[in-house]
Amino acid sequence: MINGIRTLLAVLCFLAAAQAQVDELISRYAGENGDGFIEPLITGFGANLNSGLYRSAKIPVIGLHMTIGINAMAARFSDDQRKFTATTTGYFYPVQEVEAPTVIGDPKGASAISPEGTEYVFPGGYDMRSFMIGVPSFTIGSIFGTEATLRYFKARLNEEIGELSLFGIGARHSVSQYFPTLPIDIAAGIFYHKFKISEIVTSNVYCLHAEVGKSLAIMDVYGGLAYEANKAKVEYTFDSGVETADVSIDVTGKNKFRLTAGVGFNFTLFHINLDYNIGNQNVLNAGVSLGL
Amino acid sequence: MRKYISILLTSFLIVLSSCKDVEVYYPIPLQSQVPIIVTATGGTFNDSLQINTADISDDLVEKLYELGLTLDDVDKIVLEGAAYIVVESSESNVVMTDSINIRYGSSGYVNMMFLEQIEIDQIMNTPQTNVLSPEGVALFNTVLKDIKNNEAFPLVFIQSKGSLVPVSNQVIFKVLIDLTVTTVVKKIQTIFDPLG
Repeated sequence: MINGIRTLLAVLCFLAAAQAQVDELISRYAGENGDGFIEPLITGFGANLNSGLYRSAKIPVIGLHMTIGINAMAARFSDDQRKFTATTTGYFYPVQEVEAPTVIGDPKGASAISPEGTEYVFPGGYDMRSFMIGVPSFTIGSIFGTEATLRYFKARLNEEIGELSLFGIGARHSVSQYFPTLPIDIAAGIFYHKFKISEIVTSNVYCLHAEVGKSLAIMDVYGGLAYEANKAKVEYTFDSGVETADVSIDVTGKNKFRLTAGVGFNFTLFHINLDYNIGNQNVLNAGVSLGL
Repeated sequence: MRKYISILLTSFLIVLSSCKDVEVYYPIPLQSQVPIIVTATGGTFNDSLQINTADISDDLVEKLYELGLTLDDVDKIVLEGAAYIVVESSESNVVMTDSINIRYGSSGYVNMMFLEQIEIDQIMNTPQTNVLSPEGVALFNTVLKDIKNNEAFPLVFIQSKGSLVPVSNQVIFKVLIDLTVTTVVKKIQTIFDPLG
């Protein structure tokens, strides 16, 4: 079974990295349109990372418990995320604004054509309706109703992409322990992720969350509210054939608030959960974990 | 234990069945420069040079090779834009009229760029981008199309023909024709799209 988990983890993490292979497409953009082109992927990625931070609102006040698990998160893109207003650059004349596909949009691309017949071509997207990543995690607690979670992954994928690394750390605290007569569990937490693809993409993702839930035999029902933010810096060298320029694009994800509703099942050492997150970017999350 | 393994295997199959191939079109813009040394004598000039289409093709193939692509991956090659830049002149206080013409295959010279009565001093080192003509762009795109299809004529001729005011014995200036040529390639990418 451990081999099975390893295989699943490796596949999910690799697929996440393969989707991030956008350097060829974004190299069309010397900066002015790059943020609009890549923004849906950054938003989807941040929204994914901020999912699966809990599978119950219940945290024991004291006693050792540890779980190791993996979450698969899939952000669902809306139609309005598939295009953005791009502007022609360079020697193309006259300057035109065009509805061009974002990185998840129409793979055929778009063009601006001048009265003289010159053509400025914008790259196509990957025609993605969703963006899925897999994230391994380790959780340990409890000290005074507090637990900590670590997420970590590092791999060298290939010469083109280079190294991919993810680091995440967070803590949750039981609020309901201070209200022993409450019929439900309440908890709150904070989480931080840092994600890097080689020296091209660096992303920082933050989340403040609060959740309520109820344990019913082997089943946990939970819901939550979160505030989140994510920023990414994309850096690469733009090569026009005559000259090169270092390009740095700051991209801010559009995800701010989210509502979560989910259900989990506990089978002694084995736990599964499924939740749906509604916000600027909707996310479906499924988790599998082992531990007490 | 069998139950857990079957859950994992099912998840694994769902993951694999969610992959799809997408043919993505994307541009590779490349800039090239054609320098022309113009010598005006008695107020007029007519200078020309020739470019080997094989050299253009070799540069393109080399660039595609660097990106792991071949000419078979090319959907089209088009002129994105061009600029006329005066970078050096022995006399800058002169008013210039210049017509950049191209000749290819059986065509005569066709105007590609036209600048009318512009003081060299005002445009020195400043790219002029609003000077293209539709006929010239169409002929240049024919050259690019023939290169893509491997059926290009060997040479493209470029001519700079015009006049200077006031007339003087000799004025020498250097013009750069900056061309941005975009090669649109198509590449199949395997995308994981579980909810697509």
